[in-house]
Amino acid sequence: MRNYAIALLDDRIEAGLHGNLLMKSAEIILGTVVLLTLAAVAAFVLSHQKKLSNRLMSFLLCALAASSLAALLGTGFQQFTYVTPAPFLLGVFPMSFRLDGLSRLFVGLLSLILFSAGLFSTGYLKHLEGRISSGLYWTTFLLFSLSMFGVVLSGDAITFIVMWEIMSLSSAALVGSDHSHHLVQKSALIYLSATRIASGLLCGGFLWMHSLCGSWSFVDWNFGTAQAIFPALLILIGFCIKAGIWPFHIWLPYAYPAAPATVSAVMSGFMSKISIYGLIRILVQGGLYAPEIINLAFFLGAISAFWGVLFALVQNDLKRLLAYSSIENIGLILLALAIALKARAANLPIVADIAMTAAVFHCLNHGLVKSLLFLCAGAVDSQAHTRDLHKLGGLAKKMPWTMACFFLGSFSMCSIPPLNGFASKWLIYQSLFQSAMLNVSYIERGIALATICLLSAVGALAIATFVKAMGVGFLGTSRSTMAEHAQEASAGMRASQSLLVVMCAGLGVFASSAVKFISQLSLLSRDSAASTAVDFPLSIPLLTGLLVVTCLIVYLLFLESSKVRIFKTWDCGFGALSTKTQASSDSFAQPLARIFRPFLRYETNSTIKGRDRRHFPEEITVEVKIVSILESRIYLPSLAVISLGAKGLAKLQAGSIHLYLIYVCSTLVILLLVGTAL
Amino acid sequence: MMSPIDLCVLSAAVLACLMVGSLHLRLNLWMYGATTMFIALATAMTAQAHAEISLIYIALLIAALKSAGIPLFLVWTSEKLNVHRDVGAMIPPPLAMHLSIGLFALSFILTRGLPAPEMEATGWYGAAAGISLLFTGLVVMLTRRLAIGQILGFLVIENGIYVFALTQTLGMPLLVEMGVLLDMLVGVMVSGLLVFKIQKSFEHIDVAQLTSLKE
Repeated sequence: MRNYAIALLDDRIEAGLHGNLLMKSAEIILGTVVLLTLAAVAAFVLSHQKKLSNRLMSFLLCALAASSLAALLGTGFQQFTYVTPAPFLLGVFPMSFRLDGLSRLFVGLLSLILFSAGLFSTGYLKHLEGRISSGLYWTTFLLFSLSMFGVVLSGDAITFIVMWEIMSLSSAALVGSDHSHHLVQKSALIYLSATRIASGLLCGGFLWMHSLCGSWSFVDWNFGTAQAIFPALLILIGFCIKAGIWPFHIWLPYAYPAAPATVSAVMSGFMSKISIYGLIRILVQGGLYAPEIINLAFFLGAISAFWGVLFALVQNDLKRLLAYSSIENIGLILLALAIALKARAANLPIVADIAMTAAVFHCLNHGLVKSLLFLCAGAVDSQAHTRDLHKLGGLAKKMPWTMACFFLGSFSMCSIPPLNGFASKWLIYQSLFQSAMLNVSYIERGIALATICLLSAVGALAIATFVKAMGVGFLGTSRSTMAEHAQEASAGMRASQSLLVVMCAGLGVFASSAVKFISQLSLLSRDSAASTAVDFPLSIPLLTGLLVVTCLIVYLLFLESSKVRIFKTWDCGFGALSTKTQASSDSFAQPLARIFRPFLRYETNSTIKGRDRRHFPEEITVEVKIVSILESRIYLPSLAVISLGAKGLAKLQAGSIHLYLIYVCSTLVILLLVGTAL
Repeated sequence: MMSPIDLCVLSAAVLACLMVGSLHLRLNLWMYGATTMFIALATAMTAQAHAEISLIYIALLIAALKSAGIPLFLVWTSEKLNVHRDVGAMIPPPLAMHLSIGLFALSFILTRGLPAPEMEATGWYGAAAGISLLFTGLVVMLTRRLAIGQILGFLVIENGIYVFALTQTLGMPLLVEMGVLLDMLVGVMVSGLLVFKIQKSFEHIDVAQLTSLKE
């Protein structure tokens, strides 16, 4: 039987049908897209059969993700373009799809994340029963998945923007799916307006490029000219808004916590990477050389990385913490992208290749890790019914599996080998070191060295952030009855987390082959022959071994020798020790936050009440407040100006037919007068 | 050189201007009928001048449906609703009449400057009459408060468009013209029924009070 199959395969290859096999895979991917649409319709139809529809849709999502993964593995490295035939047009434009190395990588990441989100859904949705409409959720979720496939596969600007719009709107609907809460409504609105602005800027940039290059296809766009600097700026800012880059990140810490965990996993894990994909596909492969744009991207990336991790440190909501950490990582990716562009402009192909590989590899790694962490946070939320770190704690004994997955994910975020976060961050550092050594200009060398310092500060703060998340969330004793009654997550949820952990570890252990694979995808240009392989000279197992040995030595030398003494702690006369005597989320973050007071505006107000309040306090309240300067000083005032203007405009709409007629009449007369005068 | 056709459509425009001066619904509707009769006459003359048989049919249809049928239906509606006089809005009728006469003059200035090459051949009186009718219709809609007044204004605007098309392109194909006529008829019927409905729901047909629907 097996021989027969091999013979058949040989026949086909001999007959020159290998291209046909390739087309088959393309058909499978397109078929996945079509089936996702059908499934979205089915979800809507089945909406009142909750249990059945949840199971069915989870299964469908997994099956579709698996089929697209299988199709990807079936195809080789070839590129091909597919243009839809006559009846399947967008108005008068045919939809054009393009599958090449870069999009293949992103389709793979998307399929993996969707697969684990599908596995996670059945168990997780029980927690949201009665709060979200399952039909609406599944319809929008499948549309969301479909449109993300579409964005990544699109070959021209029209298809891209249409898919991008479906993606933005469906994700906004998903963010608002638990819409009975006021905060969720607010978050969905903020997110929706951010996407509107982003899409507007992108449309502007695309139209501008169309008028410059006379084509909608990305392949024809050339950003090397001097006129292309403004459309490049529009496109960069449009993508930055969607990715949550500082100072456009305002929507992100609202939207990710408000959305269901599966949605925030996909949004953070993949949707924010789509912006990076767009930047690579359009600006990087379009040959951007303008130093203004590249330096802007560099600056924004560096600021976001620092800003994101600083704010992540002081968050008390587990998902909000992860959201800010996403800002940090997207900032890092943008930074790596800008380093690659800088190096290309300075004619340093080695640095450019390393930085580009680092950016894409970090996209992949962060996508997997962040979806894992969001899914773990979702599991905690569904079991303990809270994400507030002040109410969590002690989950290690209740949810050991989730804890293990969350810890491994956090380790990866802190870039500890052998997990995948290490490899890509190492590459980013490597590109910076190389550019510090190879650059001719001393200013560039200085900038590279300063960035290395910044990145190490960011890394240290990231470790503090995740130590806080792990320690306060999972260790110690429970801070509330809700956390005390938490139970281990369902089998499907655990399976999806474990799958992502395995992927993270795998990518970390086999980092050198992954790096080689990515670097051969010709990311910097559309010319497939131009790429060179980037080496990853570290041996991850060796490094891990060293790490383990160091840890053991430290343990044996310093910790083992200190004997455990068992005695009663003096409780200062305040009575028995309670859960409140543990280090809390705020008390952990405060010392570090104080260092960065100029950026953070971290306010602590403590009041002590009681007759003799010094020695016998009756009530102690400590209130910690983080003031976001950007939000209160810039966004709110400008919003107030806009709404004032809008109120003035709204007076035009008086509801009186006569007034409207006057508008019509006067417009007609003015237009005719203008027409005759010209 | 003013041809009899131009004379007809210009009298239609002047008659429409005069219509603005009165608030009596029945008088208004019959004056509208007379305006439309002039237009039907102009159509018939155009048919004779250019030997177009189909325009004759159109002229007959206009005379029967637009200048007799629609006013009759609207008069019947107003009898049924027991309204005979519009209240008037914005500007008093005499002033409105003078305003529309002013717009009549303005439309001559506007048409002179229109960049239309055909106007050399067909003359611009017809175009001026068409635009003037358009303005008059807008003035009617502006100065009437009752829903029937709005329908009347709309009908005058439609007449203006028709006159413009007739004098500039020598009429559209019969099929298109029939379609437009049918649409008109259906539109008037539907809005007549809507007026009944508004009367029932709001106990008046004063459009100035229908402002709460703006959002």
